[in-house]
Amino acid sequence: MPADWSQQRHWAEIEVGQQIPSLDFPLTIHRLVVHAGANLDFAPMHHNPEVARAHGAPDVYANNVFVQGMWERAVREFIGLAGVIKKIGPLRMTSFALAGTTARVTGQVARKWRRDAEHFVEFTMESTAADVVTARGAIVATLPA
Amino acid sequence: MADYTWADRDDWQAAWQPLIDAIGTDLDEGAEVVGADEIELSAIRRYLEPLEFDCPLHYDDAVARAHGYPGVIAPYSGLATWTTQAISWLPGDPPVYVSDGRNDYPPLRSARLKRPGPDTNAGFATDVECEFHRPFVVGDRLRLEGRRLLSVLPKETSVGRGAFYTVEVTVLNQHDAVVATQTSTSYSYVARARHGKDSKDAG
Repeated sequence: MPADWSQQRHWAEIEVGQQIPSLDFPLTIHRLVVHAGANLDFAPMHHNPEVARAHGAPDVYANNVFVQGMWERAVREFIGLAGVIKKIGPLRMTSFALAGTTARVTGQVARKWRRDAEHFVEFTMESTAADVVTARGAIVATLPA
Repeated sequence: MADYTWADRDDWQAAWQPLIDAIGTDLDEGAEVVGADEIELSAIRRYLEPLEFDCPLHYDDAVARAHGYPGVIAPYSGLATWTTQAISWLPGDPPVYVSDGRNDYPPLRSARLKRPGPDTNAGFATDVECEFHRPFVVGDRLRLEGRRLLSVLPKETSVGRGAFYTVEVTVLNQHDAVVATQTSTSYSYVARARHGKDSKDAG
């Protein structure tokens, strides 16, 4: 379902603890290869199962840029077009987001604050796949007041 | 010829001392790493596709300008994309596709970045933190400056013996404006399953 970009959230209506809508990303080898071509990360563990296994992973897996991208989309769809992403991370890859699983991205508002004329929100973010947490971290963004 | 025998020794951690000794220094010794290409609309479109990410700030110039940007902005998460060098070859380089093994890989240009310490044959990123100071827009050409080594931790994991190391870089655009500062940690290791084979660290 495409996001509704005509809607704009404001900082004043954001509540600490508020969940952002989760997003699911089915991870197939095709999708990882399309991403590798776009992201220019041709490290073999992200597209070549034989090499990934030789490197100690169970299969090919999403790279950290793909994880960042999934998080950015989830946050962008929440903060709207007038939101500004200020920081991605700290992001820790805790396990392999493998092809053949569905990555689920969740997030919630951890805190909000003002500095000068800017209105900040920090989101805690998590990715899971096959019931395993594959990445944890945060994104900081600003929203219109 | 790469030498992975250090990973078999009881004192394998000692092999990382040269990298530990480099903590606080710029691993690139002042050299800049310039992205292979300007940020282009077509590259952004390809980046958005596997994410099914339809934010118009990333493809609609009028929408981007209406929100105060000088034009279409690139997704922030794609910073590594816009700072990537050519994968393996540029005009003037010698041939890199020199064997036809099904799983042979040419050396990655990024792997040519110097790092003291032992040879490794595998690696992956574990942590990243990136603060954005300004958007990067279509037409920008980004570059990395100052790959400062912050920490090194030799460690044996389930995939092999190696070390986690953290570097900090500054990302600038063609106007010398800082667009981002990034801290990232990688784990470089000798993979148990590949030990003895000669391959490039392609993490």
